[in-house]
Amino acid sequence: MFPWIYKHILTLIILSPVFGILFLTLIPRRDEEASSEVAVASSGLTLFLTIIMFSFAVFDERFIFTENYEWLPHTGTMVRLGVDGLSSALICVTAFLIFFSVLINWKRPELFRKEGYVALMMFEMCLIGFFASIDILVMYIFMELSIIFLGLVLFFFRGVGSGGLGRFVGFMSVSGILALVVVIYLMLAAGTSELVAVEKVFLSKNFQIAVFSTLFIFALMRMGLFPFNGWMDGIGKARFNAMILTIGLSLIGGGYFFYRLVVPFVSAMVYLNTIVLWIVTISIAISALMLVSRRSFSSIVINSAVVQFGFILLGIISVNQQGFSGAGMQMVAVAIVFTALSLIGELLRRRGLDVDVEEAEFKVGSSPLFRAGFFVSLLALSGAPGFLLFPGLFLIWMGLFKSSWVLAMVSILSVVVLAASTVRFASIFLNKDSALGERDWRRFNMEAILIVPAILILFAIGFFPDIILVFVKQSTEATWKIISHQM
Amino acid sequence: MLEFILSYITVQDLIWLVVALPFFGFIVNAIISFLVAYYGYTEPKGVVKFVSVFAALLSLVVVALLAYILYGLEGSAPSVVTGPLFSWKGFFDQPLEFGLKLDQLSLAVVFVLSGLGLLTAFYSVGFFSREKSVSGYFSILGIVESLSILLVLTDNFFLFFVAWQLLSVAGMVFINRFFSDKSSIQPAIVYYTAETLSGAGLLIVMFLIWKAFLGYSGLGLDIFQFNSIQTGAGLLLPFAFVVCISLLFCIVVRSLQFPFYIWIVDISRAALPLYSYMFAVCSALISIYILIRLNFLLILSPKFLTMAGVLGALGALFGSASMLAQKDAKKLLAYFMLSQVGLAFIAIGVGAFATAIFHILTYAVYITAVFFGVGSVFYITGMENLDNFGDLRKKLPVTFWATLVGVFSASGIYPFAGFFGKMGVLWEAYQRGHTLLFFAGFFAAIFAAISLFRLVALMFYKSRQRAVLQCPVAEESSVSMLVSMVIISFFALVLGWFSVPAAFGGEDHLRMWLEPSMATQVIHQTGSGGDFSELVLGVFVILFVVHAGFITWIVYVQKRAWANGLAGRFKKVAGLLENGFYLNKIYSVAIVLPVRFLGDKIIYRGFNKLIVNGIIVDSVGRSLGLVGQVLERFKVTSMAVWLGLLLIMLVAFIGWTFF
Repeated sequence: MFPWIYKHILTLIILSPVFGILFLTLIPRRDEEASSEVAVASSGLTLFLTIIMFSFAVFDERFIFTENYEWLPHTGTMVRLGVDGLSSALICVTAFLIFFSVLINWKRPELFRKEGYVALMMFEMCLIGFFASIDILVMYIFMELSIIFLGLVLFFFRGVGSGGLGRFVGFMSVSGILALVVVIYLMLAAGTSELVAVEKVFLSKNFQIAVFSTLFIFALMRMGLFPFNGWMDGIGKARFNAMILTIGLSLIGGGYFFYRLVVPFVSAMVYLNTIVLWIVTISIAISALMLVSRRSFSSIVINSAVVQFGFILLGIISVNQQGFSGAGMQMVAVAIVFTALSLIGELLRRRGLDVDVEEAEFKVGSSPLFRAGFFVSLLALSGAPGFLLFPGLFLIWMGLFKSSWVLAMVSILSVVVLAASTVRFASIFLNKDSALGERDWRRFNMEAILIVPAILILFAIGFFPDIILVFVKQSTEATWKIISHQM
Repeated sequence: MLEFILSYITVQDLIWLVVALPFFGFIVNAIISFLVAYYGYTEPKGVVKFVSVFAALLSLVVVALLAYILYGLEGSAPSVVTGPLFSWKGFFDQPLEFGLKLDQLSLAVVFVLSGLGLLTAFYSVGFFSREKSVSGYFSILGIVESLSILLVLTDNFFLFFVAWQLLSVAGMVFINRFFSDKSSIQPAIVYYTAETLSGAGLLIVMFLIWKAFLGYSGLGLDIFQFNSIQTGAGLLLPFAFVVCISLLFCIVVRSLQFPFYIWIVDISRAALPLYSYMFAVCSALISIYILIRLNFLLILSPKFLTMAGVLGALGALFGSASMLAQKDAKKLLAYFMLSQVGLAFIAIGVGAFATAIFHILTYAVYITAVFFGVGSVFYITGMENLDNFGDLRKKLPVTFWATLVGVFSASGIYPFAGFFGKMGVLWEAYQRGHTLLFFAGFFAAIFAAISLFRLVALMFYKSRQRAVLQCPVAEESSVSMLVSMVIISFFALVLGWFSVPAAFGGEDHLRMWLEPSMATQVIHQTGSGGDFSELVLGVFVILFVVHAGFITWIVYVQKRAWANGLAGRFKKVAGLLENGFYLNKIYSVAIVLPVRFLGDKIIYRGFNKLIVNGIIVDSVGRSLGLVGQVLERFKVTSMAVWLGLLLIMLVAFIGWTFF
């Protein structure tokens, strides 16, 4: 039994939401309330399998738990699965986030109908499939499918205006086409879509520059970096944790795709290093400056996220080991911060309250739990030392300092601006005299059980980043080895 | 005795305990605070206060024990380094290990930090006796003490940076929760932004060090350890000025020096005991401590030393001049902090590092004494404006005498502790030929003395030309506050006797004690003056300070109208001084408004919303919509036409493939 599970663990994890989806579709409309149980069971199963994967994981090779399935035999296309330290950590965070999203909406079909659960399960399946693929074509397909299902999740969460959703679809489509161009080019050049083979393919410099530029623009668009941030404002009008889910996971996906596919373009990356570093640094600085006078909480969260995503890109294009490690660390850490924010926001919604995304009003009552939760999450999001985003940022800055100390200083100052903007909202949560809506709030032990560990995790990883870094480093070191060989 | 103690516990464990005990107090009180707020339990105030005071007391006992052990250790440079508490393996090829280091320098600073932490906790017991809930306050006090001690004991620049920034988070929480005005958000933002900016400076220092050491394999495991930096200090020579300037920027922001002192005045309405401990004591002590810890680096850049001295002189003058016209007692003391830390910078600027640390240690004690005395009056009267006080001397005798001792010490009157600290700074500036710095320090001392005596006169003496006290006063403060005041006043008197210069018939114990922590060049750098010159200078300074102080006292007690008339005649100057030279308005106009305008009007509304989203993105969408509308007019509904089109495409494809 166990060897079989061990051998097919990734398939099991990817397909585990399918059981939930099948059950959900069979539930008649009149018994819709039961969809909560099914969704919790399904996402719980995925999480359980992910934990099993972690308990089995020994990273003695670059990719472990590898599986190959024939897909289109006459074209030689295969579904290749496998994980390294980084992707396994991202799978774990995804499973946790989806499980909590479903758990918090327990018995609330009025907010989360079965169609919504189906879309969410599909999204989970595709996102995990994306992280678990070591075949660029399969990776691309999973990535695009996850975006489609994310759009559906947003639709079912309600609250996104047609303009916001339209821009989201528009930007995702254009960036998707750019990614497709890169994938097709790499497949043609390598003669296969297998990631390991693609990474070693030799490309002429001119082609490298053209295709790397395409990949770079894709990353800017997917991660909402300036000037491709037009769709972010629309998403900011969505319900709080729908927004978090969108920017938290799909955009990290954009960064992850860039990280995986950038390896064959080392020469172009080195050749264009100065210009791309400047573009990303300016983009980060502009995103930070745009925060200065924002009054909307969603703007703060979104633009803070954009700044942090910018650092992921900055780490990768610094083209050194520290930058790579930092980018990997940052991907996982940002996902965890968003998991925490989503958790707290949704728990608040469960009380019938909401984080008003339009105005800086927070109906968190006099609850110390929500105040502390939002406060710590915001500090973590601003990259404050001692919280979990800082170790990744520090590594990225080290990498950047090697390339250009001017850019490192500009990006450090951007984080200062980010912190100054974020702290205004953090202070509102903390201030004893803030008018914080209802005073007579009820207590739920479940809230304490969920929020207190979330706060502790945000601290703990800040002081003990090895919890994540040992996994991330296994991936980044191997990737860096290939890159330095090509250099 | 030493063997007996060490048979039960190792020195390394004891060092960790100094940090861990106040942290334990923080954890316990934070949990109580959470449970009280969340579940609505009645707060066990006695337990909260006991835990806080007892943890601080135990920490001080352990520090005393460590001092005893360290003093008994053989060798010329005794120091103890603990094993790593934790390490980061993923960062570099070799793990980054975090440990603590106890040597003469850190021990001296930690002694004062933990001692004042205990007294602050004990004083707060009485100060917050009327509050319904105190657990939040005492938990913040615990974490501030723990982090401050950690900052001084850490052997590693990285941990120093992290603890430094966490301390600013604790400060922000404190300002938000324990502010006497409702508008605490703005001061908290200003404070935290300044702290983050300071942190950015420190980060740049770390990266410069890292870059300098890059590729050099002669160093040990960890390039961020202070020992490693000292070992490879020579490599930093090309970067020395940039490193030192970044460090200076960071320290100047953190220690409220000119021109970054505005936020300390903004946050002066925070609860007094912790405000005093955190911003007046910890910030100043840690800032000067880290500069002295890196003395081997500072001496690599003479330009830096000059800049530090000039900035210190400006800070001392601006701070002490701003004190002259303050009506708010807390703001007056905030500017006093600025002027006194400025004196320490002058000492650093002239290369007298041991003198700087001695001055800042005595400063920590006498400013706490003054704060405790003034805080006691606030507590009793419920008022903070100096114009509302008067004639409290007989009603509050203990508070009066304790404050007076603090003020004597703070003014630099012999033989109080402040005299030896200030005198040391002025003497070093004079004998090393920095005459301008000497005069800046000298006038700063005079201005400070005038303002402090004015404070005492207004607060405790009855003016013949003014109505008596407007506030009812029944009795002295609580016992804990009185005991704290008496103890701190005692130390404000005697602390300087540990390091009496030879000219005054003593022995400079502190300088000798700190020698092993200083670079060789620092120890041997002395001036040309002799003992007699020092004695003459000392008498000269005392005479001026005493005269200035007593004249002020006489004016404010006997002839208040003179002072008021003078202020009326020079209204603009008084306004300039009272508002701290309008520096906050200058910042607002020169930095805050332009950054906001750039961020909001130009980048967000102009560029992002109008050009990028409004014109580029939306016009693409509108164009597509237009294309759709045009195509709709030509829409083909006949299946035959579609099939025909398909056929044409098929033919074209086959033709392109085969021909």
